Amino acid sequence: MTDPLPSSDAAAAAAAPPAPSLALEFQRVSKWYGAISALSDVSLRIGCEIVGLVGRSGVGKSTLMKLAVGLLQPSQGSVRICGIPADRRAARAEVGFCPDTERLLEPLSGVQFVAWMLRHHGFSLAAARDRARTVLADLGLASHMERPIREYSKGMRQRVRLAQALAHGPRFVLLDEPMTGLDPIARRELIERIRALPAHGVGVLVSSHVLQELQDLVDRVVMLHQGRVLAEGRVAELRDQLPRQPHRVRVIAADPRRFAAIAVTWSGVVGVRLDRDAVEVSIDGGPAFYDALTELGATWPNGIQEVVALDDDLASVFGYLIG
Amino acid sequence: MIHDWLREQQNGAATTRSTWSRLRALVDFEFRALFRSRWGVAVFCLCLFPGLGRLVMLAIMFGVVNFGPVGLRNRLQGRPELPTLDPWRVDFYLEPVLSVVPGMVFALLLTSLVVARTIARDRIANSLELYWTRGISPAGYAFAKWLGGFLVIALVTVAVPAVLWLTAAFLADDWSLLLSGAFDMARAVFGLAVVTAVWTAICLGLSIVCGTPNAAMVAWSMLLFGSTAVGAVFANALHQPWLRSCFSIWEAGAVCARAIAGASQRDVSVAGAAATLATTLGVLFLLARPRLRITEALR
Amino acid sequence: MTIELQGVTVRYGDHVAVRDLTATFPRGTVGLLGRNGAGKSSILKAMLGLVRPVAGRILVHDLAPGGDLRSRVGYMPERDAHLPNATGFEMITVLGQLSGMARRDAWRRAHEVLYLVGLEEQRYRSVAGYSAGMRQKVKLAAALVHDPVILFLDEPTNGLDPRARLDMLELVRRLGTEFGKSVLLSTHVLQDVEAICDSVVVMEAGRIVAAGEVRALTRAAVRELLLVVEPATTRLPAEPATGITLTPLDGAGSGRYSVRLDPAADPSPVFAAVRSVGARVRSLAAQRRTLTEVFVAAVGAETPEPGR
Repeated sequence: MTDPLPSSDAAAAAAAPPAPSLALEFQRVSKWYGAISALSDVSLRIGCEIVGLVGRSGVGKSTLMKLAVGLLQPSQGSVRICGIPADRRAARAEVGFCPDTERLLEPLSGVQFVAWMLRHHGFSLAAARDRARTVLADLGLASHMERPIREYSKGMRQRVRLAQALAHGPRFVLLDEPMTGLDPIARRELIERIRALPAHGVGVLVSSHVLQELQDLVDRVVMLHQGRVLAEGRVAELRDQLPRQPHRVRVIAADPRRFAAIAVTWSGVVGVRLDRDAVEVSIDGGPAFYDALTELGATWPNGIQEVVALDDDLASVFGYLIG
Repeated sequence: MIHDWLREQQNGAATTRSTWSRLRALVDFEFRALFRSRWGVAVFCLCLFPGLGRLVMLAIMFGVVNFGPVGLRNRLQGRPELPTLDPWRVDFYLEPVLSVVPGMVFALLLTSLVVARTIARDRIANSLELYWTRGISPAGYAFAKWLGGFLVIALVTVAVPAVLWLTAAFLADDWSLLLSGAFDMARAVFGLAVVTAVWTAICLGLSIVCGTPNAAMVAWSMLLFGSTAVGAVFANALHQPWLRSCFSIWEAGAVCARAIAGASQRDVSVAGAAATLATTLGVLFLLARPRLRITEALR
Repeated sequence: MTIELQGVTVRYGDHVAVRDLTATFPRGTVGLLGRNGAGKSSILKAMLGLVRPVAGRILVHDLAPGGDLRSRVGYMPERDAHLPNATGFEMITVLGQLSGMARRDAWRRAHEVLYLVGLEEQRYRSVAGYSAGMRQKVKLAAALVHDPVILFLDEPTNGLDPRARLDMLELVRRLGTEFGKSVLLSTHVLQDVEAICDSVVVMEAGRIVAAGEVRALTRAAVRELLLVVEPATTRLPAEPATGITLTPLDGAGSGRYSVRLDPAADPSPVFAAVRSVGARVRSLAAQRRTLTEVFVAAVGAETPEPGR
């Protein structure tokens, strides 16, 4: 068993077999509920990395996650976890799932709940309890883990959900909206924990609606739209691949009117707008604008103070592609 | 001039109005809740059936329609033995409401649908938070729920007998029924209204105490059927028929209603029945009060 | 000033939720931040008149909680809240009437606010069948129906997908700027606060630990900029001019540099340095502290989350 928890001893991680390069693989997977299509022709290859899953609600994100955990069977194609078909029992040991549900088994304590989940993975009662205690203590629940879950706050519930996803030492975890309801500090802690997972040989697929937050967490994003993968890759790559969408650049200049008058003459500039002490320039995406800007900045003392690309983030890419 | 009506403020539209005028909106909302769904309308129509049955009986008895058993048609000639089949006595109008079958069964259906689920359902939908923040007090809320539910139930248990009696009074050959029975019938209507109010209150109490709508429905059914069954068992085992009305919530209500109306009944204890209803109400009130505090609903 | 708190203490049994809080909340859109159990919702409840402080005085628009204030406050609860068995229109109408509107006023106003939040197509459908996004909208409509001057919004973007989040934030921003409402926004998503709030109030353990304008709070202590050059392999001198230092970020070859400038220094040598090696400036952005950093500094990351 690998131990995915960052703060756990390194010995366990060292003893673990080297993680396979491909943790989750979707091969042309489609899923229909009756005649209703939830996913169509989705192919994914996720290794030991953090991948963000974004899309509007009802777009097939949870179907995708359930397929990966083996809770659903694909109508077409195959889903493999570490090379094993996802619906096999052996695959269950390699995957952890942190679902987006508020309710847990309320009367149980944190330890009982996690241990109960571990029993499904074939742990003996004593081993399951031990392991549940270790994992929950690692996640900072040491003082509360014997109390019933119904007394837990949102942050504590979230940690219990995370604990049951990680406790059996999976090589791949799926986190569905893990940040919902957490306060800013709990969010930061959780983000740090997730970031540490690939170093321990655990791949992560995480969904979130807060794109600014997700962008700083993930290596790549997968954008789902109407059951299909609409885009996949690093945010900057995706931005550059957008077909001739004008970029918007905000330039803070000492004399914005003068700068606007100069910029409007450059090739590659399709629009200029004054906004108080700044100028918003729309460009067609080529390098010509930046060359001219660098030239001007170098020859105009104190002229150009700041250059900020306005739509380089995930939210803008999402807006362009999905709207 | 271009009007931006979204931005045109309408100050003063929300003024501080009396608690009652605000609660009336809630009563109204609650009253119409049943008729919003097709199921609700269907159940309501079903509950009118016993009343319709009596209407047909009246029509046959007074010769408005010419079919049915001759015996029934001839009943009027020599006043029937059974008081419940004699339109000149209030028992005729009380019977379809107060009997165990069909009265209790239909009342149970209606109360479960209208009253038993209402507060438990609000609790789950977090409506309480919306109400409290608008200055509705728990007591006012419970009262509005009770009144709204009572009005719906009373349509079946009070209005239907009253309409039946009016029909009979106008179908009769002369005005004797109207003149002689008016006072008795007024008492009967009052009695029916009182026990309907009590039953509604008990049902509402259960709705407050129970956590989920279904639990409240089951608890209410169990209370009605269970108490009736226990009463029957004790009464038969001890050969004391009056015990029946001291256990059964339904029988107790029926006994009280008949006593207020002055209808004939044997082997009953009116004091025992009243005590049963009062105890049940009191216990539920004590249980329900802490469950409907403002802080309780905001957790 | 919109909200004044003087020595307010809120207590549930032995648990002190808010301790001797004195504060004045500014006008405009204000973000109310804090960890779970920091006392945010207790303060909201005290202002709504749902809990009575054991000590102190609360004035919202010069009115004490309860009574007349209720019709001037719109509250959007955090949890999903609706009236079962009602259509969106019926729910908003009834809630408007409960706030003291006449029936016909409530009807008219319900149509207006449902249009405003974007539910005009779904207003005659049962609320129980609404999606998460529609439920958030109908809660906002309920908070707006009686035309309050001050709005308390508790996590309005919870459960919304990226597009719906943007729409909701834009709507809240407009309520503050165009409609002139005072908005108190309680949320855990600091990016939302950065996007739409003028100022923030940070609470911890029943006290206010930081407050002020978002711009002022996120201003960095030294003038530091992030420089991105293209192509990424460009190598730049470490000190192109006096008073300017360049430090490569994420190792060499990422094309990202941290630029430190003396407060009065001229940034044009940075452009000159980039041009002299034949590269171009993609971005030169002033580094601001994120609100998360401000929050962590104010609250302290080490405090354990209080249990309930």
